[in-house]
Amino acid sequence: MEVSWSLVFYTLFVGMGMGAFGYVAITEWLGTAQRSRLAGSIIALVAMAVGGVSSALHLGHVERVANVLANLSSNISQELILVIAMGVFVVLYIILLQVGASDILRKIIATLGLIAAVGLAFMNGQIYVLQARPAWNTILWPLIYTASAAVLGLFTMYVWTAIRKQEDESVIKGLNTGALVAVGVQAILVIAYVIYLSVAPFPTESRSPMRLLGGDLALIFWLGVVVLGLIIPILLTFRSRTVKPGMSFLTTAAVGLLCTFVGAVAIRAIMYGLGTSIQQFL
Amino acid sequence: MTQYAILLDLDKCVGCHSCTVACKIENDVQLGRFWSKVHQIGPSGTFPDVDMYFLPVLCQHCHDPECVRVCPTGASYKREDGIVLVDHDICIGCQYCVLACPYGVRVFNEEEGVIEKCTLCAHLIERGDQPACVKTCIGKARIFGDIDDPESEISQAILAAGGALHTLADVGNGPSVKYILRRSTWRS
Repeated sequence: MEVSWSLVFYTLFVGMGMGAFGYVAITEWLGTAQRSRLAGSIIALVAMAVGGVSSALHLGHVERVANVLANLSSNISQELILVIAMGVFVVLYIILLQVGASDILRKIIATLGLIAAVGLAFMNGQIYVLQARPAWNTILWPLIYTASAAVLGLFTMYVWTAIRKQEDESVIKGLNTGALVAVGVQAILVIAYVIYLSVAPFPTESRSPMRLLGGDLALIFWLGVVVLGLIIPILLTFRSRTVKPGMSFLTTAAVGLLCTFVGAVAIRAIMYGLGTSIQQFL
Repeated sequence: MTQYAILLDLDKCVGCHSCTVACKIENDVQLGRFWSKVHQIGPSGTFPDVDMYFLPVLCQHCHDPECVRVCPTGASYKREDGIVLVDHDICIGCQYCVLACPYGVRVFNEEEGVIEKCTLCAHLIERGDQPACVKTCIGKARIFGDIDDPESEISQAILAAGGALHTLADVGNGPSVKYILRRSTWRS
């Protein structure tokens, strides 16, 4: 199947925004990174806007987008509701930050935003869980999209925090550890998906794991997903856990973000490549 | 209930593609887009035991269509007579239905920004006529009718087909279009 690049970048940027705001919400509960919360919220809004523009490029009639709420059982309708909810919570949170609202009020809105962020990142992948396309018909895709959102959001905040240098070193070390864990989870999910492909129902050559491991998708899988998307970020963040205090984390953060961005594009492109129909003549 | 559908006797289909052409002419389907296609399945086997047949594929007007279930706008809908249609005044061209349909029979009209597909020539049916592909078939391989009416010609033919009756892949959507194939091994 042809890659829908507008949707690839939609889920990528929306995921990045969800991950960034998810981080902000978690710092609310941890009581850390106070000076990064406004930036994280604005990054989330900007990323959502970029993703929204990319999504609009995919539609034949963007001016009719309100029609999307006509069938609430559709995943796309639920996705739009989550986008709206997310936008409202992030804007509300920014207002609360600006007016110096109470901790508890900020925590409530941040938590609601976190729930919406996780839901939206999950829904970005859930949309592709379709019976007609056996390689997509697994909960692993929504989980991969959710993990991808966490990875991109954490590395984005990691870069911001490393550039601004306004936070304690414990904050940046926390981001480093969080990014390492998120990429580790992503690695487990990717391995699980390759295993799923080998046991998935309705096997055909077009959905074979051999396409990833040694076939036409091998280059994008090994180089894009595995080396750039997983191994390099894991090595960088693992190494940064043990360095001496005072070291610059910017290299780890920037290279990690760049690599995971490429990895996120690659895994989405592979998803389209494997998305053949259950009907064999197609 | 009514469920209009088409029964295709593949033993009679010669792969002339006249159904594809008739569909394009009747529905003004633009160059490069198809609402109905004829696939060649095979040849398979080893000479002299080779096997091949033609498989015309159109919207299956499913009992429980995935395209209708996933459509966020309600533009894709199923009529009381079982025909699945797309309301072009509502469709936003998100193409989610294209992904959800197992049969690749929905096409995106880039000029109009909407999804289009086989309508079973609903405009002809409404005036008591038959779909263009049925009327034009040179091998009389197609029977149109109500498969929920046990007395209809199509229902009788389905009943008579016995084990030679086939459908395309069914993931719970229940394709209404049926196929008869006796002379070859069904590989679709």
